[in-house]
Amino acid sequence: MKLQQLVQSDRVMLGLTAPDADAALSILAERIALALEMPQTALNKALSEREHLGSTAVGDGFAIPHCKIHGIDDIYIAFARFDPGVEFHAPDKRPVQAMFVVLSPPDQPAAHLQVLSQIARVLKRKEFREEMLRARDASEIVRSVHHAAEAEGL
Amino acid sequence: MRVIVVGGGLVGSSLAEKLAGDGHDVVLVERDRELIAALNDRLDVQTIAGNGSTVPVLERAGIRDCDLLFATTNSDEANMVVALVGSALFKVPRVVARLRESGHEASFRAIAAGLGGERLAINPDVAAVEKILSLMPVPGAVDVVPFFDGRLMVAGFTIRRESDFNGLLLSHLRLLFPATPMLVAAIRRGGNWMVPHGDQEIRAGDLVYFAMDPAELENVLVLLRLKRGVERRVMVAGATRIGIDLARRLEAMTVPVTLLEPKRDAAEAAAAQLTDALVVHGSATDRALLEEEGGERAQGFVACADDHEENVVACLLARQLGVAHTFALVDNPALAGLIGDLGIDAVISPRQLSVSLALHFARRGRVKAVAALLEDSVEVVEAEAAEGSRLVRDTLAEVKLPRGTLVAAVARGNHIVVPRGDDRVEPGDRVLIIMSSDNSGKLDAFLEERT
Repeated sequence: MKLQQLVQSDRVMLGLTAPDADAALSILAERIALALEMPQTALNKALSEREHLGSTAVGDGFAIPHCKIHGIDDIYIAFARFDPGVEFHAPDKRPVQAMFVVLSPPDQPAAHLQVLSQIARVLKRKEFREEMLRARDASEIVRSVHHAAEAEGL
Repeated sequence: MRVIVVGGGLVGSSLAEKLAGDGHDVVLVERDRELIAALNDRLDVQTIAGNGSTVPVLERAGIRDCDLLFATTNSDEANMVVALVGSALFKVPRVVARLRESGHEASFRAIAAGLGGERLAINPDVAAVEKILSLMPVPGAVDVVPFFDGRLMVAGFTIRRESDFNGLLLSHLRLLFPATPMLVAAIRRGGNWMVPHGDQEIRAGDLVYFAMDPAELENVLVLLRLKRGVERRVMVAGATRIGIDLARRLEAMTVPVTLLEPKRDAAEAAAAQLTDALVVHGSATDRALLEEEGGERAQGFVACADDHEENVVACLLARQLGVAHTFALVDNPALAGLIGDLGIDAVISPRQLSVSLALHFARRGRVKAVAALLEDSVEVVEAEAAEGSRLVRDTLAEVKLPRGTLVAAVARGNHIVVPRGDDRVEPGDRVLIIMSSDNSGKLDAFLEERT
């Protein structure tokens, strides 16, 4: 499962606003559930439950909310940007401006962990983080992910 | 505590060194004067030259006030005499004897049965077989040690370039495993070990010890991207005591076994003792033979010949052929140290295992389990936190454990948690402590009850 194949331009959401983390997850659940034709409440609940186990924020304004959920056959990744940033209990206490949302079918635990690991690794690249925060449209986002994933050897 | 160690070989000398480091009053008895001279140069331990199985020598070593006696010469018979004299004549409360012949162990137990005090017989060969068998289900692991009654396992792996851990920060582990304990206990990079911290990056070539819920093992193996064998078959090189015992145990587990032995009579004797194993007369360093016997499809290759250098060569060859998981019996610490980066999965040292078992017996009390990692430079200790001990008196940040010492996990009732600096350890908790071996003598001060 390659990260660059999973991030697609029709799964990029820019310019979202949310007052807090719960509201942000709820907006993401609403948008993604609509696209995937799945019940919004189940998705929102799954994302919130994971978030309550410990923040998925990784610092520098990024978070990777994720969950396992029925109703999809493959891992699904969406990218979302919030303006202004959202308080997300990040380890560095910075508000989160950008999120990779990862949904996995429950029967693919290994692929799920591999994708999370890949995103965490590309996010260590300062240049990539800057590109993701600066990008003006979905195609720039997709292009940056491709570059970063290749540079990371994925 | 007054400790006497009889026998200054690899096992005796490292035991003496460690126990002296713990702050005990240690006397080492060795009959070989040249060896004594070498030990005096190297160790900060009182030595006595003489035959430790004789009463006058033991008396000179202070056996009358001895709390703990180790019989670790190269001879089973001498060890039995030392241990029995210590138990029967001098009522030494705790006695450890190294006995390699299983018949000796039985005799020792029978003779000593009526005597007071506690005794431990250590069989390095049996310990080696047990260690190999414990590693087999965890492909790629250099070591696996259970803690908290098996609810937490510490397992060391070398990170491959293609592993999903390569490039991950330690702080990311909580992102991937939010609901179960998952942490890095120690990392060795380029010959040095590092005290782990969250900003550290895992890199290819690192030897990383994970402390994890055993239920997560499957997921960790996937992220490690290890190679798995096509067949369950295990090839054992060397019809030594360890080789035959291992083959027999694997047979009992219905694992197909091929035993290779270069000496015809030894091969025949082994074949007579085994039922299902395929015994092949030939050398494990013969590439054509390994190929012929299907070495490249095997899950495991264990080199247990008496020549430990040959074990290394055989493992490298097996590895080159594509055996998924290789183990070499190596006692020489210098040789073991060189192997790290060669790609042999696990180096098993019967002598080192004997030292660990003996140390565990010696330190027991508040300490429930000890594992030595990274050629002994790091120790993982499971201990109980006593009421009134320094460990429970304040938050972990304020307790001020020695430098390089980390409370990695706390078991409280049914839960295992990874504590933070502002958490407290409660009396009755069991704690998993990771520390530099240099500090092991300082730990007692934190665990002991104080009034």
